[in-house]
Amino acid sequence: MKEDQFDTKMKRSLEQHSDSMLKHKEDIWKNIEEELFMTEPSRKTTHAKRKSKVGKRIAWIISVAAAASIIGVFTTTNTGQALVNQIKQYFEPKKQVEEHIEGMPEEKEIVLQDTIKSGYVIYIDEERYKLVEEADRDIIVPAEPLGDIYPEVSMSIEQVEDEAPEAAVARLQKELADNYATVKEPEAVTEPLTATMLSAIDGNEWNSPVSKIYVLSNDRGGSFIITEKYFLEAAEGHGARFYYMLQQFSIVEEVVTNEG
Amino acid sequence: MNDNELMTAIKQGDQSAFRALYDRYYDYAVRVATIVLRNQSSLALDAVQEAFIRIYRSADSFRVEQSFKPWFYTVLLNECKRIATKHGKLIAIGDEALQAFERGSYDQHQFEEYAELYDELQRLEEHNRVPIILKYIHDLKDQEIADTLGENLNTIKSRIFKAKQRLRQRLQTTLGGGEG
Repeated sequence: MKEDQFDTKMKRSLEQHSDSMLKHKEDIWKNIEEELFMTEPSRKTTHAKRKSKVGKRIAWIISVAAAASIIGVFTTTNTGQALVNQIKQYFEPKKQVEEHIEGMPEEKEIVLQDTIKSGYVIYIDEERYKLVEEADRDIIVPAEPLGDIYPEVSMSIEQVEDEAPEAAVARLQKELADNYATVKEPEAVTEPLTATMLSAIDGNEWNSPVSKIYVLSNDRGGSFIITEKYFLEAAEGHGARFYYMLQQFSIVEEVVTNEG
Repeated sequence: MNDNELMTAIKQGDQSAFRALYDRYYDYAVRVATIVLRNQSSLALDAVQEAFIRIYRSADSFRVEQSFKPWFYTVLLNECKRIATKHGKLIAIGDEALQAFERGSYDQHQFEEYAELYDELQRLEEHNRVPIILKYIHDLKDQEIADTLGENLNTIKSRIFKAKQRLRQRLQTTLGGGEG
């Protein structure tokens, strides 16, 4: 066989075995564009839906905040627990939502967590995650533990009564700088919630640890600090799922009354 | 604009230049990734996507006096390697070609020839297989392949020579393909 004939056959053989992949060009471009040029990665496909969701959420929070103001303070007394139960009825115990994870739509059920006594509301996908109450914070972790080869994956929610958001941001930025190679400047964000966002990454390997922290006011001089931990390769998996969870997050207003 | 001019524009944040580069390289990149990853389509698409993201984010580290192609393929092959490692051992499937044949896109003789060549290519050792893929998919010159893989030129020439020899023998023995 002549050299040029062989070359032609070789080339055609390789093309034949990869022709079908050419059709994915625009889908892949869309993913790249979302990752690089959107404020939050991997959200463009859901952008329109997210906008309408935000509108609904604002109205919903207003009504919940109003309900909370009427009902009053949360305590550990029987009366307080009754108030918590009353507030809970304003939230759907379960919701059906559609999320886009790694470019694919996922229909799922999310479940209201028992966190109203901690001053906030969140829903999680209990097939994948569980919420663990610790002494000074709640932490959401994978329902099935990840293998030892993976860095920590979690999202903790902590209310710090005596630290204003500005002070918390300064402290957390320093802590991140001590532990991560790259720390970005704090950024004001409105999605998935209105907060100051800090983000850091320690390397550029698939398993490099990533931390993303949202700091927001608790409206009483203190802060809510939400800390996501995952690794680079999980940014569009766990990272995206945490993002959706935070879209459901809301602070439940505490108002001191004569109750409790 | 040539590749390096596009990269200069990308360094300055020109998104349309990045799209132009994508248009120029996507077909080659997805073919290389598909074959390197032995037709595991979703892994290949992941590798291509991540490679382009890395290219954009690392544009500042690209020196405009260097050749773009080897730099691009180094990034792409690293992504393929990372993804292959993450997903463990890969199995050659080659089902895309089979489907094409079933759809009647190829005549039977050609199909057999190409399938034989492809199977034989996938049986080559990794260090011989990858240079052949780069050479035939995007016509990379031997020097560019050497730069991509961080090997010296003579090593690459020798690997390509041996790989081609083996592929030709295979084609001739299994299909009786002689001269012409």
